[in-house]
Formats: sequence, structure tokens, C-alpha cells
Amino acid sequence: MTTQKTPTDIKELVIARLDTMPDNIKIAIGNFGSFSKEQLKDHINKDDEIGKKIVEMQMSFIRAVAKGLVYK
Amino acid sequence: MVKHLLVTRPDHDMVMIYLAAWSKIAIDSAEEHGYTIIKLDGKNATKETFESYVTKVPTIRFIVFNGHGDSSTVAGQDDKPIVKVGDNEHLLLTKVVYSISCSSANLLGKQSVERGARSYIGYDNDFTFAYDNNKMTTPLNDGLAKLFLDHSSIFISTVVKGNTIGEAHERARRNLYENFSKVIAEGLQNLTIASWLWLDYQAFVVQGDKDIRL
Repeated sequence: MTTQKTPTDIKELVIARLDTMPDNIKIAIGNFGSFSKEQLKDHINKDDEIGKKIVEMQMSFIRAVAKGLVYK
Repeated sequence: MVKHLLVTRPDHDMVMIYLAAWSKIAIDSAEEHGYTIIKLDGKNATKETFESYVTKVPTIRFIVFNGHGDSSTVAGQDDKPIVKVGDNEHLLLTKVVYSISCSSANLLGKQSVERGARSYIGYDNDFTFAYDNNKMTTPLNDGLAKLFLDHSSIFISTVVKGNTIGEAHERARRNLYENFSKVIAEGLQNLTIASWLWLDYQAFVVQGDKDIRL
């Protein structure tokens, strides 16, 4: 996990994606626990370990889409 | 011939409660196909209890771990390690192991197979799922969680019916991808949910022999 600060535009991109989720949904992420949408956004804004993990995972998906690896 | 399936089901947090609930479907299927189930539930999901059973019951063929983990560890109740690289992975000798935990297919999976496990099926990255906060008290009625957790029931059920590990893995993986496609088709508002499904699909792997049947 990188210790570098996550660029603001990347954070905003991921937060915008999370904002499309309904409020009643929680995400269980690995060993980190379960989080509501607002909690996820909070972690991303703080750029802490959980926030970085969420961004890393979402960017992994976005890059895969861009490379044409996702849709069969 | 007697055949045992050993399953660990910690219940110390909501993630574990969901996994424990959803594993019931697979356990029922295994019983229907002649397996005797050894359940290490809650406080019994410990290293000591696991080691005791796996050394004393040689007919345990199939082990299912529900638990948090990392690349070298699968944990049990209260996140205490049950199996760890360099400690006791040799106990998985001759077994087929399915670990519903993060990342353990990486190092633990590979090391287990090198030490004699027949196959180790799991995830080589974080395992993620979404659930409906309004359905927390009835996990099996949670249609959102079903999208993420059904594949594990499919995998176990396909194995206990006598199919190869490879066939079971492929069917389960296909279920994840079909759910991903279904969620995407329902609209861009679901893109984030779909992304977690796709990541699980990517992470779900087999180490060891894919051609064996139990």
C-alpha cells in the first residue's frame, strides 16, 4: 500500500462513483470491516489505509475497463 | 466410505455472520451427498480445535474456511490464526481446501499445495461483498449479498456432487461474472457494486490439481 497522498482528482472520481450507491448498502472489504457509503467516502477523504485500499481497488477496475479486460 | 467436510464458521462480526449464514446452503448440499459435516462454529473456530479434528479424523477430505485472512493466514474466531504458513499448513496434506478469506490463495494456498494439499481454492486478493443494511438480521434473504456469496455455495455444491475442482471453480466463477453483467445491465448507478463483483471474479483462483474429484 502506497504511503503517497492520493491525488485529489482520483479521490473525487472514486467518491463520485460511490455516491451512486444507495444509502442502505454496506460494503465488507477484506479484513477492514464493513462500511456505509458515507464511511467509505470519509476514509477516502482522510486518505488513510482503508481509503487508499478503496481507491486502489476502484482504480484497478477502472483501468481494466479502459483496457477492455472487463467485458467479454 | 465415510467422508467428512470440515467447515469453520466464526461469528464475531457482521462479515462472519453473513459468511456463516450463507455457508448453510452448501453444508445442506454436502449432507445430501453423503458427507458428514464437522462444524467449527463461533468459539470452536480455533486453531486448537481445527488441529485436533484434522489430525484425528483422517476421512476429512474437504475443508472450508470462513474467516478473515491475508496471504499467509486463514483466521477463525476473533481473527485468531487457524492455519499459517510456516506453522501448520502441512496439516492440509491430501485435503481439498476452499478458503473464503482474503488473499490466502496467494502464499498459504501455494505453500499448502507444495506441502501436499491436493487443491487450495480461494482468493489471491481482498474478498469483498456488499449487503443490504436492512436485511442484516436475515442474511439469507439479502438479494444483494446473494450476488457475491452464491458462487461459494455453487463451488462447494458442485464439488460434493463429484465434479472436478476445475469444473466447480469454473461454474462458480461464471456465476460471479453473470451477476456482474446483470448488475451492470441494471444501470450505471450500480457500477460501483459491479466493480466489487468483478474484483472478486478476478481474485477467485485454484492452486494445485484442478482435475481431481472428491
